[in-house]
Amino acid sequence: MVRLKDRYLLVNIVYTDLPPGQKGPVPDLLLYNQPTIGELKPQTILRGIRSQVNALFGDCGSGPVERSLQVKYLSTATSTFILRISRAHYRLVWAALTFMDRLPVKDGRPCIFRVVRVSGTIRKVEEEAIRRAKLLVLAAKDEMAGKAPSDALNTLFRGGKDAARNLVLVNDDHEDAEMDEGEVSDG
Amino acid sequence: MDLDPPTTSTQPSKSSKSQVLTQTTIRSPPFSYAHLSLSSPSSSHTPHLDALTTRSYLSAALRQFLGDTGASMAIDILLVNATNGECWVRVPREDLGAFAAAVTAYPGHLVQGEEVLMRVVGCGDWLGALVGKEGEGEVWG
Repeated sequence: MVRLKDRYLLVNIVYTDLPPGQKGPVPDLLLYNQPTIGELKPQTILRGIRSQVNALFGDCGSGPVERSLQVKYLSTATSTFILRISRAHYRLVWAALTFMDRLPVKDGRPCIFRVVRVSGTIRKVEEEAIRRAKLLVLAAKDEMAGKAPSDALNTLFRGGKDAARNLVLVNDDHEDAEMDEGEVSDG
Repeated sequence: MDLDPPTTSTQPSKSSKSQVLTQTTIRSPPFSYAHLSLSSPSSSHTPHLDALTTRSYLSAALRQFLGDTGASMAIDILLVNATNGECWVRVPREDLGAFAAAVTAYPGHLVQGEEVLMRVVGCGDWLGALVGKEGEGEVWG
């Protein structure tokens, strides 16, 4: 039996246009991961990624990506979204996300699209999103209490084995039956 | 009476076989070569061709098919034959498939009102074999 295999990418939007050394009531970690204000809809994300894939990879690259790219989940409050793409072409989408430097809306803010998890099933990606949200809340609380090192960017991108572990590709689980076609939830 | 002298047990020595001094197998040559031909299907005469127009046609074809990664492909133009509109180019070996597909897929563009197309006459890893194949069309009619 031939299964159509996909990859699910969990992507964070990290905002970079903050003046350095700003000391305010909000910890830096939350400023980098702030909610997305404005008109960010699944269709705008799809349009932005498709145009970037077309610019980077031309007709040959944008063919398979256009057919199989979907936004499965978008949350503007946590600036996170989950993409579904066919297994053979997920690296085209990942490369296009790396080259996008602002939100794909008119006068979009400069930002980074950071792929934090790639998985063969959506369940693992959802679990990872919940786990990262918990860690973010704990780290922000630590920073507000003054316990953590004040370099929020270092904490966010936490180099070394921790970051490498987060980007490990998970082997295909044989249970992607619960994915719902075309479902996009918000918030 | 035995006329033949008894044969000796040693055989007459054969000439020694040629010795192999060194042997090497080239599995992956660094470059691949392509022989392209510019043609204009509407009119009979071949359009003007030089190194710069070759470069511009190839980069237009690659940019449409492969985007920025195609435009960054390292192409060396080896020879441009302006009389019959043919050119020889060299690309890295791993890019040959994409390059040939891009040149073949290019729909052509208009130059001074007539449609101009690039056609792949031959491509391969070994330039000698490609040059040797040049007269093949005339042999087989």
